[in-house]
Amino acid sequence: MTTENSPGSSLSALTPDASARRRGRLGLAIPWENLPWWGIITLLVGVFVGYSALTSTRYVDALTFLLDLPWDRDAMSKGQAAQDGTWSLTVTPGMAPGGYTLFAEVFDKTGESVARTPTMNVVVPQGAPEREGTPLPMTGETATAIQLQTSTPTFTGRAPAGSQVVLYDDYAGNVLRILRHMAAANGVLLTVRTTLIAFAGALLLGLLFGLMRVSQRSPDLTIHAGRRLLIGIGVIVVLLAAWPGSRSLAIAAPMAAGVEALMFLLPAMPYTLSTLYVEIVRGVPMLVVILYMGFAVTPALRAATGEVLDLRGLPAAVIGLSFGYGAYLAEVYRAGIQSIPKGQMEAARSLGMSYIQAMRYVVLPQAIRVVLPPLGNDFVSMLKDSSLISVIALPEVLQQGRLWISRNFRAFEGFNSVMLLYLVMTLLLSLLVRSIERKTALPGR
Amino acid sequence: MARTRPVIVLENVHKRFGKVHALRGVSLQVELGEVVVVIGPSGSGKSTMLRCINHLEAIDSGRVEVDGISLDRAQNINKVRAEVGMVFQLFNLFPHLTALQNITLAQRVVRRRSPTQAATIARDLLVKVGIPEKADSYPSQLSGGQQQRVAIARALAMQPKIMLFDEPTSALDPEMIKEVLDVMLDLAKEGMTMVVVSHEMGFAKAAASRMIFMDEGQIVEEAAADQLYNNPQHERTKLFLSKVLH
Repeated sequence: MTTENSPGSSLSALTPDASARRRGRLGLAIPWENLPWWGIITLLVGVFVGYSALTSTRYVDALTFLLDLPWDRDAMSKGQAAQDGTWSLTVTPGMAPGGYTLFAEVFDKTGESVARTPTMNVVVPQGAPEREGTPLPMTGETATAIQLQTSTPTFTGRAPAGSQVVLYDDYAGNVLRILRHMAAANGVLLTVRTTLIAFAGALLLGLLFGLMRVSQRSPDLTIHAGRRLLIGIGVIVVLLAAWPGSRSLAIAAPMAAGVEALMFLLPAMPYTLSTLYVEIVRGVPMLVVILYMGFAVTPALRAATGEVLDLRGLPAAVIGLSFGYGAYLAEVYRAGIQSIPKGQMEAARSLGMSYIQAMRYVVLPQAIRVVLPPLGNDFVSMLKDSSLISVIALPEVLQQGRLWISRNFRAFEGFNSVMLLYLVMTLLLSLLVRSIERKTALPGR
Repeated sequence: MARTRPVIVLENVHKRFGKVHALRGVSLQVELGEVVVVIGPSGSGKSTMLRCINHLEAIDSGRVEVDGISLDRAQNINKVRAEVGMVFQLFNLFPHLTALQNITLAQRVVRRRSPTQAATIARDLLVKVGIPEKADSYPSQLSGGQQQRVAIARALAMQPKIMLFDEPTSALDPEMIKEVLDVMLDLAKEGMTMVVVSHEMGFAKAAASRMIFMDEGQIVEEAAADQLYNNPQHERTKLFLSKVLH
């Protein structure tokens, strides 16, 4: 039967063999593997949207807030229309030199948009002073961009008394600016950003420590011991030269002894250090790691370096998550490397490859395929744990959700939206991991 | 026979695995172009001796010299290993690479040959072992005999001076043994220095210049193939052969 594997073939689901295979525990003959992945997502989102439309209109507002929409405009200034039905807005602080596409939007007292002026292209020239300019009425489209004489221009127009007016810069056509905006956005995009960077860091840390974990537990310390101790002497000389305060016997002697002891024990260091790292970090709750990073390490580093090294915000969160997850990933890598039969390393070594070459070309390419599913697992897990960074005041999805709830007093809508966004992200992620697994699978395996 | 320089020298080699004393003072010399077949019961130290020759196992005492280079533990072992090809009982092909890539990998990263040059050599070797059409197959798509032939080609691609075979046919179906032995026979005829751990009597009779019987970590008896088979001197050898030959 050739129809068996063709997606979308309704006949194949009816043949006894195929349907029996597809029948799950519930006895349903749903050809899940033929449903495109976006079908599942559409289904989920569709059910959610349908349900929420029936129950509450606040979801749109919550989701908009969590996605930090809109991504195509910046509010330049806002104010209220006067009693006589006119408004006047001045942009402060001054606009940076460059071209802008401005429009004003009028909102009624409930926050609904009621009107929008035509767009107006303006150019702020280099070195425009911050001074009061002639008020520019926003009435019709202008064929050419208006050259402003000031970086703090004033715009006027008409709107019902008491309504809210917001002056926007519209850059819907400028993809680069949209991307830059998204890169600085809060909510979902901050969660995605944090997770991606932190996972990349954790992958590297994990690989490094995983490789250290599979190194020899108790290597023969006498091999090349002389060479190492000689390098130790070099290190001591450099230390003595660089740090004049150490040139007394009371400091130099213990320092030399310490350096030489370290150099002698060097071959045993990888295993010892990586085991320490894994056992300690894995044994501490992620929340504690993040709080420690955010409220202990970061301020201390800031104070010690005279505010030069400032990790506040995203860097602290990313480092905390990477460091915490690196310990788990190190164990995943270790298991993967150790699952490759010893004969592979021996065959590679017997061909004259060095340990590093054998790892790089023979063991790791196989180990990566083994560890892909658990790595994907930890990726999803990290995405969820990125909600913990809200404790160091980063406005990621959960933090923004709670903010929205406290403003609107709508807990169900807020948390449901947060959950929906997490679900969509994690589902997309598992699909991505699965497709990578399929693409890297070896034929005949 | 004119005495030539020995390419493998083992001198009073001892090897322990914890409490197990695997090699108890093994001494052996193999000369250029010799084919030495090693037999003996399981656990007698045959494989361990072979693995000591290319330093897959570090020896506890004694001396191992390959091609005039003494394998002491601080030596750069990779250079020696590139001159010593090894074929394993379970093939140990790299499953994530095709047959061709299996043969070209070490050529590229150890011998620093260009991809085209390595591929040319690999294809020639695949012709030599009789499976040129399997170049792009993955190991899992090959039969045991084919896998072992690729493994031999992989070792030969490094142009080694010595080939070590660790029970190359004992994981194979009976009908695939011949195709591997034929390749090994060809190699022996070309004058390759070989140390073969195997109980294939046909191969030993046809190719071996010398046979060695090992038991309990020691070389018990050493003789020409015919002589060891037909006229073993040692009681232990007689007992073993009577069990093996039925």
